[in-house]
Amino acid sequence: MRQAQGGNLASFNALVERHQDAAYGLALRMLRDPAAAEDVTQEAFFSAYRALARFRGGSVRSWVLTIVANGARDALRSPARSRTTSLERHLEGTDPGGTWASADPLPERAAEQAETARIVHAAVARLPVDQRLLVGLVDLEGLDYQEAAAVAGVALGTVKSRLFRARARLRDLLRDAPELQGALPRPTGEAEG
Amino acid sequence: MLGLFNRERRAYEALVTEHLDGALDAAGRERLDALLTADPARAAQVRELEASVRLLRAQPPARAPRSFALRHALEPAPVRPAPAGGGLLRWAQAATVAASLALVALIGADITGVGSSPTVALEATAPVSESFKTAADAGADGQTEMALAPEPTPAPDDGALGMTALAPEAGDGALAEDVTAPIAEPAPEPTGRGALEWAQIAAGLATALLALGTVALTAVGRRLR
Repeated sequence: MRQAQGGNLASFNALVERHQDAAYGLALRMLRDPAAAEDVTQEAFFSAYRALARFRGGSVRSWVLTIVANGARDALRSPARSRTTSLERHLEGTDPGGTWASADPLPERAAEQAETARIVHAAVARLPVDQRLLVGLVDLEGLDYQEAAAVAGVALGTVKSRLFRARARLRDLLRDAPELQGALPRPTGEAEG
Repeated sequence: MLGLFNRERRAYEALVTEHLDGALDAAGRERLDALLTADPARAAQVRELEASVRLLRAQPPARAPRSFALRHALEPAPVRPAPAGGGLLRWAQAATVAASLALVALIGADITGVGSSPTVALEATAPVSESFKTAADAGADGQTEMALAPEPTPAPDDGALGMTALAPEAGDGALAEDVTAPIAEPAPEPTGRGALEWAQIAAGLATALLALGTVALTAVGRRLR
């Protein structure tokens, strides 16, 4: 990071390579539009490069993801963003390169895992934006509560309650997916929190 | 009652969330275990949540469709060109500030008395005895009598009312009139708005109009950007 701050482009690009998957994944989850997610991710790295001098230490990943989250929020607010949600279409076969491609070498298992991934990410995409942001940060990117609170710009208590609601909703959505029968335990009663 | 319920619900949600993330401390673990033992339905739901979170975390991470590496070093953030009407906006802002300062100066002059007519001020504030002396020095016939007249009693107010105490008791109306004539005349009341007041009104109006113009120009500039 110090070298990048000193103007070393190769060092900055090493940071980009390290964090671009998480950055793009976050943008895609928030925007549900692969093209818009690409734009926001690229713009976030431009902004990060220009703001290198203002980086005051801490987690580079959180810093990059905060820039991405802010950019995605701006894009969601932008009146120019009139494209319909295309993540479902993106998940249904137009993604041969595989945003969430399985690394399994066995073709059958890889196909099965890709199908599960498609269902899980489609379920995440149906959550409200503030919930899918936090589920993505904590469950998919592995951030702790403090980091997630900083990226999302909310209090620690809000992170926990939003996560609870997001996971409860996600559980309901996944339970309803016929392809995942057996992957989740059967419900035994309805007595939420 | 509702607040208590909400607090309990939030506390339970926090416990379950921390449990799912492996962030529960010993005291929290004990509380959650007690809650789940007492309520099997909740225990079953927590098991479902555990399974969904496991499934979610088992998914491969997203993969960027391309490299976002920068091809060449970027220049510092470009300075946005000044929006149309920017020069006019700057002039309007400067004029607003100037008009505001003028208004403040005029109000200040009014409060401190700087710039008001000194004659009027003297007439309005001169003590009765001083005015009396001035009148006596004028060389009228009755000036000897006036000099013999007893010391004037301090009048409660300036002006004509006070002068009745100075008039000789002999009832020489002519003399009393002569002496009191210049003094009894009250300080001239302003019959309309003075120049200072008009200037204040003009400066106030100018400030308000220019401020409105500045706000309008700013809004137009933002819309154009």
